[in-house]
Amino acid sequence: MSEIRIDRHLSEDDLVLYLYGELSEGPASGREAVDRHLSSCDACRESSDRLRRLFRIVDEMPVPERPEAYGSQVWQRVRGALHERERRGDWRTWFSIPRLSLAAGIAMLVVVAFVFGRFSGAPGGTPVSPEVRERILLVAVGDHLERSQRLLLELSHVEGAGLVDIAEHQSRAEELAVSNRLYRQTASRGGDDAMADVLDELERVLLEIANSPSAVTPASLQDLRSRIERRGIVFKIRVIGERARDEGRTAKPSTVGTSSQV
Amino acid sequence: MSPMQGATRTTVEGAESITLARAQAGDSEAFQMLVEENSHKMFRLAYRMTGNEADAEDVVQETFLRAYRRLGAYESRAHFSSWLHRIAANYAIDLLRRRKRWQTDPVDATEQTSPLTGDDPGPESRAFASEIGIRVEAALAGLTAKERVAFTMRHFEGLSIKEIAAATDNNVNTTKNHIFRAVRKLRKILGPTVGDQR
Repeated sequence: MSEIRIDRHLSEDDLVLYLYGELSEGPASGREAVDRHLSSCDACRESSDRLRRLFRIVDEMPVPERPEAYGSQVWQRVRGALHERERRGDWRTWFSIPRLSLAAGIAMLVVVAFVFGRFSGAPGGTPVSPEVRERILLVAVGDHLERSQRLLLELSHVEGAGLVDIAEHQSRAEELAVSNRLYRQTASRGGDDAMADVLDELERVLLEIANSPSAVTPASLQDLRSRIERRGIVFKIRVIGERARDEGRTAKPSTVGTSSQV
Repeated sequence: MSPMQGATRTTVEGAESITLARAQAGDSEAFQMLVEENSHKMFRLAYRMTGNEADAEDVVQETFLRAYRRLGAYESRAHFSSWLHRIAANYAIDLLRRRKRWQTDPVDATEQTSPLTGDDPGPESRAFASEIGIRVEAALAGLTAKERVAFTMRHFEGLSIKEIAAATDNNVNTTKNHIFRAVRKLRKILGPTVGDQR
């Protein structure tokens, strides 16, 4: 919400904010103050009325009707395009989702094993010790953080004149965000607040990259880099990643199972 | 909002969350439902952002394709429709820039017409409506891609400036300026129509 100075006639910009309900409720510089001013200033009231009429006219813009079955038609087109992109190998689609699900599933297995081992102790008959489960998770998190760090560093070195295509980085950010969520939830449930905090911050950065336009201007890219740098996320994930890898290496070796059994 | 309306909305949102969760788990029928439920709304948004049917259809299709591709990154913290808006806005900006359509000379729209100042939409006003519609389309075509997208999201979709800034990857002040510039340009072209001779 915005505030404006009302010791003069209102500008068109002030009135735009007012009519769109973008002013705060404050009595000194918000909506109420504009109401009071308009009730006593003919010139500003006339400007406000003109702007209201302009907005009503803009509302007259016709939008072509679409048939009732339009949703179904769009779906047919979308489905066709998905098949086509899958055939060309551009994207994973429904038929390749199992690949992603498999990766997520493996991560989830590790996660479940970790949580189970951490909170319940080794169940009877389970061939994998809690230490091994924890080591596997730490190695997986370390690897995840390393891949995330690589992505962020690569993104900070992307260059180009005009629009820069970051579609490939987005695709990787998207997949990293999926596994990141699982690791974050696990760290949080396990009480590892430091790890959970860094993963939470990393997830926001990954989602920001994944949801940016796929073609960005150098200025937008620089803006994105600056936001990443301000968060200091690369440094944080390096520190926490090294910790995870060290702990993964030094965790007590298992006497009852191996990582391949998870 | 009445308690009944609130409960209905909660139920609808709950149903959408379930559909979304199914789609994220790889259920194509669930994604189909999301496409079918949101297509009309997305077309209206896309048409207002691009100004022609072919581009609007392109934006609708590409929005759902990108949404599909990014389903794994979708977070329930944002409404699904807001998320779609974001994808559509970014694609529309790319599209408009690629085609440089926003540079269309809006000079034809500046011809003088009789002012329309009354509130009553009588027969004369209704007859005037199609001409007005054409004039508004021409005026919107005079905006830059970012101005048009920001203005459409604020004026037609009712998104707050903060939401638009997040959707278009801009800061709030830049977004405000896009909207202010859009209004100034529209007033310059449509002003005579509303009795504004400035």
